[in-house]
Parts: sequence; C-alpha cells; structure tokens
Amino acid sequence: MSGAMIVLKEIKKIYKVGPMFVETLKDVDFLAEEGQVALICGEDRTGRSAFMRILGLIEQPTAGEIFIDDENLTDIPHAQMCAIRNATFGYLSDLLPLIEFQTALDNVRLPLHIRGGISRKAMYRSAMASLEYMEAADLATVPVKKLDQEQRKRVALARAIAGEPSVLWVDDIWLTKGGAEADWIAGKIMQMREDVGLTIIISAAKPPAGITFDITLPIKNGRVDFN
Amino acid sequence: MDIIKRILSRIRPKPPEEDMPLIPPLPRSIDEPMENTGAAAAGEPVEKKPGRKTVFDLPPMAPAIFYVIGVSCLLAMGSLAIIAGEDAVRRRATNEDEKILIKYSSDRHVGSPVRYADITQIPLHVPGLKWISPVFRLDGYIFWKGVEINATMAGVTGDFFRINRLEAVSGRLLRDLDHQMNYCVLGAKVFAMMEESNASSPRPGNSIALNGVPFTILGVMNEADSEGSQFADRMVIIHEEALERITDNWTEGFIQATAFQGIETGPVAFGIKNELMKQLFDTPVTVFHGDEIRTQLNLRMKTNMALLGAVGAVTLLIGIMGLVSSLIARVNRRKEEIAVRSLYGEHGVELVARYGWSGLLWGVFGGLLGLAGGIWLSWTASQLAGWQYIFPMDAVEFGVIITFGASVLFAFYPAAYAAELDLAAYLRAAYESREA
Repeated sequence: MSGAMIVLKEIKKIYKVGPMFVETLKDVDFLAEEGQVALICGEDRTGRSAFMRILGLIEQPTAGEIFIDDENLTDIPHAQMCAIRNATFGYLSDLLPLIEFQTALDNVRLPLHIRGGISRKAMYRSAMASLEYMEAADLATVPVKKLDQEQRKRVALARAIAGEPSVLWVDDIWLTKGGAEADWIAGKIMQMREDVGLTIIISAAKPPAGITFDITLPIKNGRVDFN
Repeated sequence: MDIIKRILSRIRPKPPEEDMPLIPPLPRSIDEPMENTGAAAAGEPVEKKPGRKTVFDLPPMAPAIFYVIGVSCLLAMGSLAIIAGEDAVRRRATNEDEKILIKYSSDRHVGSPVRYADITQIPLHVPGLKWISPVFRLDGYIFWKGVEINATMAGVTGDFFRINRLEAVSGRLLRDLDHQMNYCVLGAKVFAMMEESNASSPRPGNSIALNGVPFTILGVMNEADSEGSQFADRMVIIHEEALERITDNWTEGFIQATAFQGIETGPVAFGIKNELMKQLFDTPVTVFHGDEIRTQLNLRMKTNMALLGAVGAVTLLIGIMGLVSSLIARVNRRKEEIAVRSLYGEHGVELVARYGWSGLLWGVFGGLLGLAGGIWLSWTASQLAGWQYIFPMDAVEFGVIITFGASVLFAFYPAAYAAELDLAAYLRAAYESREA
C-alpha cells in the first residue's frame, strides 16, 4: 500500500437544475503528491462536495482532466472507472454507512469481494489485518447493528483500507464535530500517512483538529479562493 | 351539481397566487447564489420529502405470502378440476346400477341362432348430467331414441357374427314397474348390422376385441326357447318397425322366447308393448356417441379448468404484484448498501444478478411451497369428498413453469431498478439531506 499522485486540471462542473444550468465548479486545479494529506475546505454549497465526488471518480466533470499517477482518467468507460475506484480509493464517509445486517468482517472485506479474483483466505487475512490496524479485530464477527458509533467508525475505516488503496477519500462529518472520536480518527489518519504513505484527501468545512495538512484547497463559489 | 363542483375543484390544479413565483429568479451571475424562496428561507422548518414511493407498502413477508397463496390456489383449483373430471369418468365407467338394454336384429342374418355378448367400454350420456353405465347388457333396461350408437356387439355361435352398428330411437330409464312385470320392453327401433365373422372366434367367458373395443362374451342362446340360455328369463318384444325387418323364422324364435317367459305369445305380447310404449316415449332419452361424450366431458373439464385457473391466475397476479412491490421497497430500503457496493465498483449486471437472484429464490421457494400446498389441499379435498385421487401431474408441470417464469420476470425488474441507482445523484441528495 502506497500513495498516488492526483492531478485535476481545469475542472468544470455544470448541473442542470430545472430550467437552469448552474456552474458549480469553474476551472479548479489541484495537485496532491504521493503521501500528502490534502484538505478541500469551503462552506456548504460552494462546490466542495462536487469537487470531492469528481476527485473520487464518483462523478465525471463537465470539462477538465483527471490524472492519477499520470494516467488520464477523463471520460473512461463506466466499468473501467468502477474498477479503478475499487483498486485506488478507500472511502470514508458518514453518507456511506456500513451494511447493517452483515458482520463487521463482511463489511470490511466487501471491497475485496467486489474486486474479485481473491481467495477467501486472502480476503479474510486482509480484512482481519485492517480490523487489527483499527483496533477492532474483536468486532469481526459482531453484526454491525450491535456496534456503537465509535466501533462503527473503526470498522468503516478498516473497510476503507482493506483493499489497500493508494488514496484515502474522507468526507466525514465526524471529523469536524470534535471530541474523542474525531481525535481518534484524526490520529489514525496521521498514523496511516506515516505507516503506509497514503495520499489522503479530506473534505471539511473547516480544518479538523489533529491533522497536519500538506495542501489546503479552499473552494468558494465554485472557484479556488485563498482569500 | 355542488358535489360535481367540489370534485372538480379537487381535481383541477389551483391557479398560482400572484405573489408566488413559479420558478425562483435566475441569478445574474454564477457567483451569485440562487435566491431561496422556499420555506427554509422564511425560517420555517423544512419538511423532509419522502423518497420514491412504491406501489404498495407491504410487510417484508408479503411476497412469500402472496406467492404461496396464489400458486396454492392455482394448483388446488386445477387439481380439483382434474379430480372432479376424473371422478366423473370413473363413476361413469363403474356405475352398475343403471343398465342399458339393446335389442338388435339383422336383415343379413335372418334366422341365425342369436348369441348374446356383453358390450363394454361404451360410454353413454343422458341429458341432465346423469351418467349411465358404459356397459351394454342385453338384460339392461333403457330405451333409446334417435341417435346412432357406433358400438359393437358380439353374438357368438358356431358361426360367429358381430354387430357393428346400432341405432337407438327412443327410450327411458328403468322403472320399478319393469322389474315387477318381469320383462322389459323395447321402445326402440333398433337397427343392427351384423356381420359374420371368424368361425373360430372366442367362446363365452372369453374376451374379444371388436373395432378396438374389448368385449366379454357372456353366453349363448342357441335357440330362442332354449333353457340353456342365460338370457332365457328375459322376454323380448320388438317394435313393429323392427319386426317388419325380420323374417318369419326370426319372429317365430322371438315368440317362442316370449312364451318361455310364461306369457302368452303373439297378440298378448304386443298388447303389453303398446301399453308400455306410451310410458316409454314420455321421457325420451337421447344417447350420444362415445366420442361426443368424451368431447363434452373434456369441454366441461376445460371450462372448469379455465374458470378455476382464472381465479388462481388473478390471485397469482396479486401475489406477483406484491412480490414486485416488496422487492422494490426492499431495494429502496437498501439504497445505502447499493451505494456502497456501487462505490466500490459493483455495477450493472452484477447488481442485477445480486438482487435478481435473491428475488428469484424468493419466487421459486414460494412457488414450490405453493405447489406442495396445492397438492396437499387437493388430496385432502378428494379424500373428504370420496373421490379417487389422481396425481395432477399436468397441474404440477404448469405450476412449476408458471412459478419459474414469473419469478424470473418479476424478480429481475426490481433488480434492474436497483442497478439504475445513480451514485453521484444519491450522494448529492444525501449530502443535501445531511446539510439540512
């Protein structure tokens, strides 16, 4: 597991809202080197989330180019995009919760299961290693519905890194809420940076405590605005 | 009129109020945020809009319940129809209470010693849905009218002959009076063509197949007045029209047979006939050809099947609607899971397969359970009604095909619906919901 270089060039995103076309992102550039921690910040409805979705290969930009490790991923076929998402990204978001009726282990090995071509043993080993890294190995056989919020966060983080991604994509409201849980997540994120050199992209309205950022990209009204 | 106006006022959309803009004003530039004219702008709590609604809101077990009920009904009704039809056939084939009397003569074998044989396996039908014996017996008691019976009757002597055509013209069912009088009267014009057959034909007690119909030869009456004949205790009176067709020799033999019963010959016998003829024609009975009977039976069975099948199909349709609706509801409930799976690369066919298979298993499991229930139900009904149970293989095959077909068709629709989830749109909506 190591980081990846991410480059986004002149990203533009226009949404059609009813009869209108709304330009959410306007020529946004971004560069994150391998192993760097980047913060995408900005108030709500400024285009921050749209940028994160484009960066996370969840959504295609209206214009602009996306490079990951010098590979141009703009306008690639949907199936290929899905495969790259699985291989490159680990996602942590409160909008993407764990699957309730499965165990923690099942949830953690989901990315590997979807990737395919991995033996059950290898999946189990990877998933257990991720859980152990997140100090949640004892939760492996516990159904998610029986986990508390903190345990869920650990399992969600384990799921994010189980597929050995190059980029950790974080859009989690818990990070900015503060408290012991946010501190723990921030600590783990910094630890991952040190241990495996992941490229980490975090989206937040304001910089979360406990994380040192190499890059900060403030977005305001769809543009990069350092003021 | 007031009622109509009130209804129309509910149907017709209300015109917009003057101070309510139809669409929010467009921003002058991209930097300017859109003006929010909604409730949130006014500081009012925003009511969360419900997600996409399904056709029906049903409990999770609804598909299984509906499906089982539907297929059970279909199978049970189909089975009952088959059993009922088979029972009718069975009863028709085994009812020994009512027998048929056939009188025949021949203008080709005038004067031949007449031998009688049992004629079996010829189904007859009396209007009013009363089934009568398929066994033709010469000592039976029914009278014919109008319809040709395409039957075969064997008479066996040293020179064997058979009758391959009978024409019954009138008749009625047996009455007590007939038994009391110790004779039976033919109110029929019976026309028979007897063809001489193989001289080495079977003897009484043996079986013989004529025109593909098996017969048992009951016995032989060598002479009309023969005491050795097992039919000697029967008196036979022939209609004038039939009598006209026979010769003196035959008539003589007949009269002798009548005399054997201890009844006066000649005029006496005919006198009795004339009295009874009145009664005979009061309640005419029509005899149908066996094929016609079978056709009617099949039609009746098919009608029953169609009726019961339609009821079952409607129930099944309701079950399928429940299945589809519940599967869609299930997909809606699991949008987050689908989103996570999509995020990690599961797409299109894989999602369809994942949710389609589970729906298919639901459907097939419910259908097979319904089949088992239907078979059990029909078996129980047949036991209670005292019918002979015939395993409804046709209905089972039909049920399996319907079960599998419906499951394939209607389980994969919700799966395709699940696969259509737009991940970006879902996340956008979720993000906005989180902000709210």
